[in-house]
Amino acid sequence: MIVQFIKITFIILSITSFSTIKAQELSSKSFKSGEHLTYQASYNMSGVLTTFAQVDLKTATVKTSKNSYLHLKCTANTYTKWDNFFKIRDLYEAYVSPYTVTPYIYKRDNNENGTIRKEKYIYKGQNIKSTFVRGRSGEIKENFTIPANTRDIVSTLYYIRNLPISNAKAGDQKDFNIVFDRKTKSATLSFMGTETVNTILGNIKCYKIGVSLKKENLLKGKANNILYISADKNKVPVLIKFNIPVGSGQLKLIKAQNLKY
Amino acid sequence: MKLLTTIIAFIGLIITLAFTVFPIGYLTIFPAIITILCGIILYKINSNEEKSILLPKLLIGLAIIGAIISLSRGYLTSDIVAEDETFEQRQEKSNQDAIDDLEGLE
Repeated sequence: MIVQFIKITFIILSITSFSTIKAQELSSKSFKSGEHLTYQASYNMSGVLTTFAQVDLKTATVKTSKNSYLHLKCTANTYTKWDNFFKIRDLYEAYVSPYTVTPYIYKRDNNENGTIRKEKYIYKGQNIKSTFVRGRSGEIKENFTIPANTRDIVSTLYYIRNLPISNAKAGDQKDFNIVFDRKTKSATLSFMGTETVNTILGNIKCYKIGVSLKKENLLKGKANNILYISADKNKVPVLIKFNIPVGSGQLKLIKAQNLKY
Repeated sequence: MKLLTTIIAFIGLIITLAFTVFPIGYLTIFPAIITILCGIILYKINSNEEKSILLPKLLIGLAIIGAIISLSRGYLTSDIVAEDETFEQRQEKSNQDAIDDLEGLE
């Protein structure tokens, strides 16, 4: 009788723990597989914001014979009105651990008005096996090392969403590393408090986070790049203001589908 | 004064017409306003000097037409992304290649 009870209890526990794993499968703290965020990209021309592209961030489950991964995909498409002048079809993607957002593969496939730029990183601990193509040059292979906890730009964005921002105080900072163009760049996140952002989806209370890259001109100036993340469990990037050497612009959330909460 | 105003008006008009070609919408209004203001100044100067007012009228008219075309395009053209099969295929191929790479990592 007792043995049977233990057996049944074990089976029930096994089933429930399995179903818990299934339910949690490919679901991080703030996002889950199937999430789709759509942004409108605008470029600042003499103080007037001109819309030029749509940026989509999607998450999906990818299964291999042994494991499941979370596929983080970022695509940028210029609007049809711009396609005749400067056509952009950019793809950035990362294959990460669904729980820790640790990247396994990062890929970049850019086609900007016919200029091709491809990049692939296969992470092996602190070593990266990279393959890249730039312009008409053939495929170049290169291996390099990165500091611990270095992520590519796509997985960094999702990693930030998993940080316990609600516990942060204005002025708190966090340093991290990003690998981009086969170089590791140090960056600092600084929490700048909360702010309400007006969007197509309504007024959203957001965490305001400044992002600055040290010793780098790609994104210049301290906290000139600001990330507004919704101050809820989903921590959706609602507005991203960026400064690049050739100007400034922003990405504004216009659609959010299949959020976790 | 008259020469400078004419030069500014022409530069403004060229920028207005150039902006009319590109889908940058409301930005065209700035050079158009400058051209129209310079056109009005030239109109008054030429009227006082009892000279031809054809050039100022032409500048003002073209700037207004350019601004209307740009504003209409900005208002009527919606932000749509075209269906791009090639890009879709690139994404699918990339995903398949990544799965192969992930299999290789295991």
